[in-house]
Amino acid sequence: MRLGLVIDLDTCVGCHACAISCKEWNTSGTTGSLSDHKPYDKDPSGVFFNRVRVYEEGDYPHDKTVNFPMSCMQCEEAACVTVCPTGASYKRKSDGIVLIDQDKCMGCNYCAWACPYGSRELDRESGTMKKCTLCVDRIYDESLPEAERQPSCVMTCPTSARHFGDFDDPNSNVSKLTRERNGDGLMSELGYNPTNQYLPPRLANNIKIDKKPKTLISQVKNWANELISR
Amino acid sequence: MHPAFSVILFTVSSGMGYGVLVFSALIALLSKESVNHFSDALFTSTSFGLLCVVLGLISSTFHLANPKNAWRAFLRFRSSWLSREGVFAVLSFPIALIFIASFYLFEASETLFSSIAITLMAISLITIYSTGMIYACLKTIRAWNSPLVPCNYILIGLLSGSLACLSIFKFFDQGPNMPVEILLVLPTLVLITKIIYYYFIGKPSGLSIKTATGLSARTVRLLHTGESAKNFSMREFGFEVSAKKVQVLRYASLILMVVFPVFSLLQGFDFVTLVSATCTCFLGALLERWLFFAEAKHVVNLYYGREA
Repeated sequence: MRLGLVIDLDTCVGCHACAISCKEWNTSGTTGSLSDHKPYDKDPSGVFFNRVRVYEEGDYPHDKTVNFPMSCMQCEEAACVTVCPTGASYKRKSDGIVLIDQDKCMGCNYCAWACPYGSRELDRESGTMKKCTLCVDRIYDESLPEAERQPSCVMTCPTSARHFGDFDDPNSNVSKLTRERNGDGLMSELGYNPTNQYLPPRLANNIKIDKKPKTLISQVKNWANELISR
Repeated sequence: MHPAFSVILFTVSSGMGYGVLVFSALIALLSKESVNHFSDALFTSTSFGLLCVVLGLISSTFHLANPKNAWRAFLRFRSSWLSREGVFAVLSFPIALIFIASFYLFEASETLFSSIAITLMAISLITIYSTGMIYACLKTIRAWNSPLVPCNYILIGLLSGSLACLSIFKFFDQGPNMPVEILLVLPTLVLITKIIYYYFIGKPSGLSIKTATGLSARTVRLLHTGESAKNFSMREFGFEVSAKKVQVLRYASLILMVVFPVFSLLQGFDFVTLVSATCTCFLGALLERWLFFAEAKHVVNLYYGREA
């Protein structure tokens, strides 16, 4: 199994609901809490597993706003695991999820340096590194109805821009979506082989606006208006 | 990259310490029979080298957010360069102590003594190399991902170590007389590799916000980071330094580290000159290491609309 996410850049509206629900679920999850530092001060900061940035693609009027959520990509060749000196970071053989053993981490930041996606953040409260767990405490929870055994961000997305599934299964929803929509991993030139895939925005034509037909009476009106305004 | 002083001091101090150990072993190796004549100087220099390494290692623990788990850092020797550095650093201690014992406590046979000295030199060089590889193995930071980095670490460690080692030998007025020309080789090598390094990091990376986001067909610009304040990635990787400051500090570091020691050694070869050369070299190395961090740009910056 190779579990991961598909993120549809075409339908994401940038509402940050995935980031908020992620924080809400995971702060009481296996690697919780996701502490905040000076949350009501001038310079607040805190741990998030998922962050959304906003880009503009193309130039006006042929441009498009692209909302870009990013979390851990669960890389096949996870450099964060290779560089970890304590063995706190590990990648599970069974489902490919990269996790951090909070009891072993010494907070040296080295794994965050090795990650090109900025998906590992140091928790100042515990002094340990934290990252997306793909909601391991949800997806295998048999007390939940089967439809809810998905990461919190996927469950909460109002536009269904996030999909969860097994990339090893060619007939899974995520494999199909990636195939049909030419999904790709980010920064593949580094060779980390990220599992999460991003579906590019669809190329849409600009909506044509027909010009109003000019009638004789409207032309006279325009001429009169211009005359008065002078 | 955010230049953390604890890490800067760790790399410079332990580099100098291992440089001192290399030169102590080298001097002992070159004059095996007459080691007894300068055993005090050799004892002091080896101890000083170990002291620098200890200070460096202590300094490195200040960078840890959760130092109670620091002992676990030795466990991933097979994959992590940070772990390897730790293991080699710890291994070097018994070897250096055996080295001290072999001339200070008992008289070791010539072959045993030289094999111990060679082992000490080897483990010292391997440890500096591992320190450099901690940074050079990161593909995410282009300025570091180069064999020039361990090369610079080794050469700067050897340069500062050689000056410190010779200062100690001069203080005791013992040991073999080193021709000044030998001392000019290391500064020249440091200067050449550092200039090559600055040309290397000056080249455009070819990475952009387009390659990072995969939206490569059209222009891409950041509209909003989605944050109201700086997050962990922005603080850790978003360090920026002006081009003018970089220029001034590059000259300052090279003058302190290379030019000043060379000129003062050419003027005279007494204890005060050597100590001042060692001190300026150490300061220059600290500046050089600060720049090494400050100038390095992590690829995550691309997602925040900055260069990498």
